[in-house]
Amino acid sequence: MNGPAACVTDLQRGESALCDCNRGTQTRQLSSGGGGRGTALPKRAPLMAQGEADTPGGGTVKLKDLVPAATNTVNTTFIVLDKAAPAARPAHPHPHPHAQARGGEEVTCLALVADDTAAAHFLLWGGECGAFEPGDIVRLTGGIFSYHRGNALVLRAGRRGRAEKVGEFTMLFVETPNMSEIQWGRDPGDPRRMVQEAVVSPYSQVFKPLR
Amino acid sequence: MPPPPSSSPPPRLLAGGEHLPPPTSASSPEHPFLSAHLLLPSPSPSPADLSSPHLPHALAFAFLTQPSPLPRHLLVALHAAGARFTAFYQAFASALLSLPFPLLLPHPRARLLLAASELARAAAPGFGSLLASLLRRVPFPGDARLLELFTEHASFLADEEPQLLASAVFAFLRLLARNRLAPAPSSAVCKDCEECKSAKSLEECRGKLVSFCVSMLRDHFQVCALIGRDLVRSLHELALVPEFQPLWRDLMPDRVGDVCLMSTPGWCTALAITAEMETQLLFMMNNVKWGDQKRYQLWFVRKHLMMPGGEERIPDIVRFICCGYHPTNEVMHSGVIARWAVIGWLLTFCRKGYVVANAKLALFYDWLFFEEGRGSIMNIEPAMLLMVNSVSQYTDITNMLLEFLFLLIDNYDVRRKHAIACCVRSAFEVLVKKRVISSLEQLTCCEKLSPLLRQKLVAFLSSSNPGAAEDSCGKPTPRVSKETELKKSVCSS
Repeated sequence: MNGPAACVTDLQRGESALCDCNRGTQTRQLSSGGGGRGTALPKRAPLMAQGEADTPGGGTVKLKDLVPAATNTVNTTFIVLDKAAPAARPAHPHPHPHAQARGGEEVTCLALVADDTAAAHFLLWGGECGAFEPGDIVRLTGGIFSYHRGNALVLRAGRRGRAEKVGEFTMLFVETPNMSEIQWGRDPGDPRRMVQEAVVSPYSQVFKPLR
Repeated sequence: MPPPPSSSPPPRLLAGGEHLPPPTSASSPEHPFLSAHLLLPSPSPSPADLSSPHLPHALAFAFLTQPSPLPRHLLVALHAAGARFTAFYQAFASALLSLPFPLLLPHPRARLLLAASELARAAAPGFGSLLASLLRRVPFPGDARLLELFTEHASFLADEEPQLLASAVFAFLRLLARNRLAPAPSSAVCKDCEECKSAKSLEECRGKLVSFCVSMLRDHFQVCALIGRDLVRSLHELALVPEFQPLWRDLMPDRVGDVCLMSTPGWCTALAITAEMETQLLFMMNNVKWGDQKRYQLWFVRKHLMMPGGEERIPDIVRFICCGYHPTNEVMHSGVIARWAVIGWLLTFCRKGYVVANAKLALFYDWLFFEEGRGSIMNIEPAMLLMVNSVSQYTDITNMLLEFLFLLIDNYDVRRKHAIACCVRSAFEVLVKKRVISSLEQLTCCEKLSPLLRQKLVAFLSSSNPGAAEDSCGKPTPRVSKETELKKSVCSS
């Protein structure tokens, strides 16, 4: 897991590298997600209180089609399944605007989120930690799916993205595959692309499924 | 009144937050109101305003947000538009209904009640659905206004909207029975205006609430009887409240029998739970597959049951599941979580003794008055399936339910004991006849079940029908269900 982790940037580098690689990202994401695994986007629309609105800057994706990339272009809707206790970490040199400065620390909180195709780990920042509860349906616009602090593959709003509660409860989900528990590597044919190499764990190793 | 200066942002209807869609976003429920407000900042009775398609939302926005006192021109505009376009009042009421009530800020919430009473005063189309939806929200701050409104218009409603008046009586009786008037969930109060500060809550006027219910029962009993047998269930829960005791002495004894014959309609059981509970329960029972329900259950508990008065809601939720939601065969065979399983889960959540008892009574209530051809089998199906499906793994539940059922037969209404026993027997028979369960031997032959209860059940099932007793001694009969009873006798002997 550490090998490919080093390839994709953490928050700081990822966002500063935005201008280099956001050209054509949307198509690349979709094609590597769909083409790489030979699966098409599911036909069935998710059941939710409010429909997904088209957002400027690209269409919406399903969690199953997430591919680690240093671009904040992920528009998606998911339901929060579980939330870990908030954690405070030493602040970054360039602090996240949403993260509350608590004695120079950033508050983050890891959450398990899912839609009807896959699950993923979502990193809540600052005020987001208290704003979302398990059972909330959240629409993420301009989010980013990348390695945070070196090795944890997480989805998050990032500095330019936005997470909004658009409903609660009425959405179906699956807990496997978990896109954050997949090992990714460079596509030998196209080093700009990431492809799935192995499944580290079918379910989240942080949030165990309730059965 | 001049529109507010353009520099200040328009007032909000809903509690906002950094992580909720802003009113400018199309996904916010406030969006249609804000857009209409921007086009018609201060709706007036002018012909141009009256013919605008944005008038219902613009007027609703102004109604809910203008500071106190409510400008007169808004009332004039409301009734002018209503007089001119027949569909206007309905559109106005629908606009108000589209707002998520739990998120409404205190001032708009108080104004929503004012709008509802204005529509009721004018008997305008749409006022009924608006009031019915507000009844589902009690208790909430300022809800005493609803009581005033129903008290004021009671005679009119009894004649013109009996179902609405019955709804109010039922909602208030459930509130009294359920919460014993625990304080309403606290919420921010609008401190800026007298109008909001003077708004009372039902918990402050318990006496008025009780006397409203009592006088409706006395003056409009036929209307209250629309509630069906849940009226009796509610009044039983209040039998120890002094104000209700005279009713039990002089009014009810002659009428209990007739009212109990009437099934409670679905709209009535839905009234006793909030709209969010209904949405979430229906989602579970229509969409969530077996095995996937754990998280949903956890969220439901956290959101609705783990709060003051939350557990007391369980009997009403059970009634809603039994009478308010009857899934189609297609849904029942689609692998989604069944009604009986949801009820089983809710029963295990009850901690307080009286809540457990009321929840079990809610589950068996239609059994006590079941008549073939008259009662719906879907009302009695969950209890049967819960008993049968729990028997192998959760025998305690089956034992507990069966024991409670016998307790009910003997004690629920001692004077009608025999009739109740016949109804329960008929419920068992119909459930087998209609193939809800293949046979009662799943209970009578189950080794795990308490032997005492098994004996009691066998004796009960055959007691009024000597023929059936003979069958259980091994004589085959042409009736389908009798064949299985033959086996039953073999295993129970």
